[in-house]
Amino acid sequence: MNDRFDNIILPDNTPDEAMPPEIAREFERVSASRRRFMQVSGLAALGAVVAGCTAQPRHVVPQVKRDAEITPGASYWYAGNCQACSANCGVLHKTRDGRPIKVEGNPIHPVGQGGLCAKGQAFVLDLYDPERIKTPLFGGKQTSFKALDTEVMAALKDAKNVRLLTSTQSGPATRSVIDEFCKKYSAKHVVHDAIALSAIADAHKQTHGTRAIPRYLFDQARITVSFGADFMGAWLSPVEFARQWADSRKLEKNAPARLVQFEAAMTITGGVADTRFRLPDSERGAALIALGNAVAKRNGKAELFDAAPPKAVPAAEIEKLAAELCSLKNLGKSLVIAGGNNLAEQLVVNQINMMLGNYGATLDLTHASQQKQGDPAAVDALLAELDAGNVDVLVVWGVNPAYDSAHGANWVKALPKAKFSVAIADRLDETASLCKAVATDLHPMECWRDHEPHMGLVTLSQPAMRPLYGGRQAEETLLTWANIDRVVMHGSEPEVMSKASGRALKAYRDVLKEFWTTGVLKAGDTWELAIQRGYVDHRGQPGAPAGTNVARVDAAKAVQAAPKGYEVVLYESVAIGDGRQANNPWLQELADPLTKVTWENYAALSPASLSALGIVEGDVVRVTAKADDRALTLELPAVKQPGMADNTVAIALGYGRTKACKIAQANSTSGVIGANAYPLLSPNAVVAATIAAAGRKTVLAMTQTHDSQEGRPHARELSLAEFMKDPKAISKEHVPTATMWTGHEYKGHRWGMVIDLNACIGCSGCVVGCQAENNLPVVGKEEVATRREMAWMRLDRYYSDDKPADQGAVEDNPKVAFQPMMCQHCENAPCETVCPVLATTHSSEGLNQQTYNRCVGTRYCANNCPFKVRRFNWFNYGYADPSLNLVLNPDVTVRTRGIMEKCSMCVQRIHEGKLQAKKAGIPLPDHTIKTACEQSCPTQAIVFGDMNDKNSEAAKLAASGRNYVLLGELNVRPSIQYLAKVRNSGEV
Amino acid sequence: MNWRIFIFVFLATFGISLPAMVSISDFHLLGNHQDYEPVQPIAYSHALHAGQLGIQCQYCHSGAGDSRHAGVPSLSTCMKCHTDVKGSTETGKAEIARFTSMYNKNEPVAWVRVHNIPDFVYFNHSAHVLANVPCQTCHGNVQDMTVVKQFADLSMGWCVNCHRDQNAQNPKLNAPLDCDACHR
Repeated sequence: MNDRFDNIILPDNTPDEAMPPEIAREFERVSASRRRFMQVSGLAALGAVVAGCTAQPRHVVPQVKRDAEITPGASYWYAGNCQACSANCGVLHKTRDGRPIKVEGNPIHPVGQGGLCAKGQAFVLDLYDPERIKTPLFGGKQTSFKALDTEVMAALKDAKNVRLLTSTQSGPATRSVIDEFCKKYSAKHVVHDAIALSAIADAHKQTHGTRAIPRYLFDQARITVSFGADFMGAWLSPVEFARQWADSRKLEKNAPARLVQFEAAMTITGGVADTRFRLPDSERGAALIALGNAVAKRNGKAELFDAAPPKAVPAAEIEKLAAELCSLKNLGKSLVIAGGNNLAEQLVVNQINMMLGNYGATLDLTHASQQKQGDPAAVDALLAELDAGNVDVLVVWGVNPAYDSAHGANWVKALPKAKFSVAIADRLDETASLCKAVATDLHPMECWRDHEPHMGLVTLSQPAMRPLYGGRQAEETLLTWANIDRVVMHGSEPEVMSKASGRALKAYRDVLKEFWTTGVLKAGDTWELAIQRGYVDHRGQPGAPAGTNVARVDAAKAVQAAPKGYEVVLYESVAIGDGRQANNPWLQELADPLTKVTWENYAALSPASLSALGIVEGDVVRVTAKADDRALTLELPAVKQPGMADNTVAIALGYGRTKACKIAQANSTSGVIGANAYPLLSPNAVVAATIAAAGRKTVLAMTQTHDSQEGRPHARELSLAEFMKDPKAISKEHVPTATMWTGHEYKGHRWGMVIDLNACIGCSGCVVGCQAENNLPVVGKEEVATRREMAWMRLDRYYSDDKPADQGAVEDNPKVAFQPMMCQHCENAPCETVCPVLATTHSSEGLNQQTYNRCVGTRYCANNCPFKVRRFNWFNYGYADPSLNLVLNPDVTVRTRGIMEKCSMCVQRIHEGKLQAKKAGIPLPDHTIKTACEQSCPTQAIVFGDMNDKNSEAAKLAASGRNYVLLGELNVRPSIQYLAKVRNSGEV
Repeated sequence: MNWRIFIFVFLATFGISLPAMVSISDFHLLGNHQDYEPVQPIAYSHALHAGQLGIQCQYCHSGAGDSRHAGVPSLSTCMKCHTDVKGSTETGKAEIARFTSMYNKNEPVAWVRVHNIPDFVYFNHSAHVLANVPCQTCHGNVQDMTVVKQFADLSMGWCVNCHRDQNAQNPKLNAPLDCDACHR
């Protein structure tokens, strides 16, 4: 729209020589496309004259045969399971005109209970990723499935050593397909997880006789002690755990549960923990043993092992913690977990949990988790076999060990040594590109598939759309190659029907349906109900077999010598995770909740380490490390991370992808985003590194650069003692009410929102949920660096400690505060009074409306906004590849250059909800309307509602004692209110 | 070609076409397409179907009650009757034969959209059907039109005036007047 007028007025967009360079750069960015526009519009205008001055007609093309299920313009929701990681949260796919446009948590599903993380929210964009391959490939050339199947089956027929490498696949039907394939070709099945948790399973094999990862019940624990497990950000099943944790600390019910976190790097779990200790990874074993010994002593048992206590944590603190764990009220009501993947440490953890009576209470082995089944030892054995040339056929499905394993370089060398290799993949990633053949896989949203996240909880995913580019789902491919069209329940009598000659194989849906109706569904279940709900739940009471104490034997191995130099901590970031979604621009542009850096990984160092190295944030450092036999030097920008252990460097995994990552790479001059730290992954030993300044600087694309609240009460926090002394202290504070304005009258609804900082964990699911719902553009690294990110919802993060504000910056082990921040929809809105064209106005229901077609882009409103939540479209930020436009929400206008925008409180959802109530002829019930951020929140920190309805949950929360508004002294009267965080540091 | 030539052509075409448009039709504000009456790919007559035969609007435009879009019917809807009804006039017979063959070949019809509103305007048919607004209020007497023509100017003022009038007549109706009712 604006482009046209600009081009008439300003035809030449090439930079002027007299321009200052920074302005010239801005023009260079758009000049090429503008010139192209001139060419096209010139011809179009000429065409218009020839055609007789009429505008181009717009067409409506209905389906030839109407699909009874699809009404154009109406939304349909299909239940499924998120497959962005192995946690398999229950989701609902919102589809519009046959294409999914949004993923939301399924509120009735036991895993996630309606919440969803950033990766899950962004998963829908992967569906439209232009990097997906469209046809099968053989020898690098496009081929048909028929030709490919012939080649693969010929190779399989004569093969002796067949290996099938997959990701964690927990579904009983999928596992049976894998089993039948393996049986047919005497193949061995190997499971690879980029970040394995196999030590937990191995430890339970020794202590409880069952090789399983327990199902964790954080909501049953009155105190949780985590040694470096970021269980709300990345560990095992973060959304599920976050919800459990939030449920356990609802202040209105009883005393909030406590979380004690020991960690080397700073994670969001550590950020929200009630008590946090800095503990280098090398001392984790010692700390666990010290805690174990203290607990044993209190229980009158023998000490586990005589080890030197950790230096980083005072012995008195461990003793205090042991006393708390062993107190009567916490027996069977606590939980101790540890991150990393070290068997000896996990044995100590099991021993502590056994002494505390947690098995069968907060740890459930009867319904063990199947969310991570990867076995690094088996993967390493496969690599050795490949290297020795002993594998005839290698089938790889959905994993990328050439990138996401410690031995990636060896995989690159060894994989081509297989006599035949075939990948079942939807993109030509680092591993698939090494394989001789590639069978096109579907995106999980196009598949029928089952999962079993916990034993007894079996979930069912249905496709949310027809395959976009053709292809065939992996199970169907494996069944075709095995020449089978029926599978039966795992463990029952093998009954395999072979394909009769000439008869087409069944679609996988029919195979799955037959499998489920005969093997999974029990009395009371139906196939239709399972599809509709997305799961069947056959779980009973939690339980566990009796354990035996074996930790004493192995505890010695848990103690590690502190390495010389810096300890390397590798972690999965909230945005990019293990790197499989690295080509997702929503995730690349999502700021890390703690460091606020986008578009790259970095070397996070404590402030003391930075001073010791004589560098500042943004300086590039060379991290040289050796893990086992793998030496590696990474060049990364240094980032200051308060709260990190000193002499530790934390590096996010998932970056440095070299293949199938074009969208992401377009934002990097080197063609690679960040650096790949996977070669430094070493579960059993702490990796030491030397760090040296590389002598250059880089510009970090950060969305927040100031860490302190400067003593102002933005993100408020109370100790439990303070809260109990006067629960209404905050709401009783004086707020000025003097005003120049006459105020507004709200006759009907009055929309408002309450955000509970006590529940917010900074997971950023809301940020990406908002991006998906409201068509927020991706602006790229350079634009983020110039503070032009477009997020309507941002997560402010502050560091603070108990020192007086004038005693310098907070650094060592600060308290972290997360604060979701979006348009506050002020009643006396400063933006509304300065808009010269009435583009931003107040609605009769209390919303601050932004009318894009009225906006002329003066930006006065952004200038006058005390919360700095308004975003300006400096350019037309469309997707370079039009296939990504398929994800756009048709209910929200796509904004053009020169327009101001901001949170609308999901006004399209408000109208949708109101219309539905009107159609049903009922008054609008509370919770019918959920904003995208509220819907996404795993901890239910955000509650939207009608403040005029005194019975709405939002109105009730707004009347609670922890309630306050931001910048109350301005008396702008925001519609968004906050509830102060209460930290239970154990003093009450 | 040099870009300057493109500019020249661009400005020249605007210079010629703009006065031409004003002279050959009544003057309309930019974006107002009142009386737009495009030729459709199939000579379908609303006057015959909706007028003479009295077929209800929502029989074909079945989305109007449920969705934002009223929807243009699929050929399968046409074939419900035209499997048997083969036409009585020359034009009718020819047109029915033509779309029957398209239907059999699974070829969709690219109808020309008559009522266009800008992308930044949200109109929901189902809300208006719910409020018992007759189709003719916005679309005119379609049952008398052989070729459909845009009846109203579909301008913002026209929408808002109707909402105000309706609220004045029936305050319980609560037709929204906030900007965000249409602009989201």
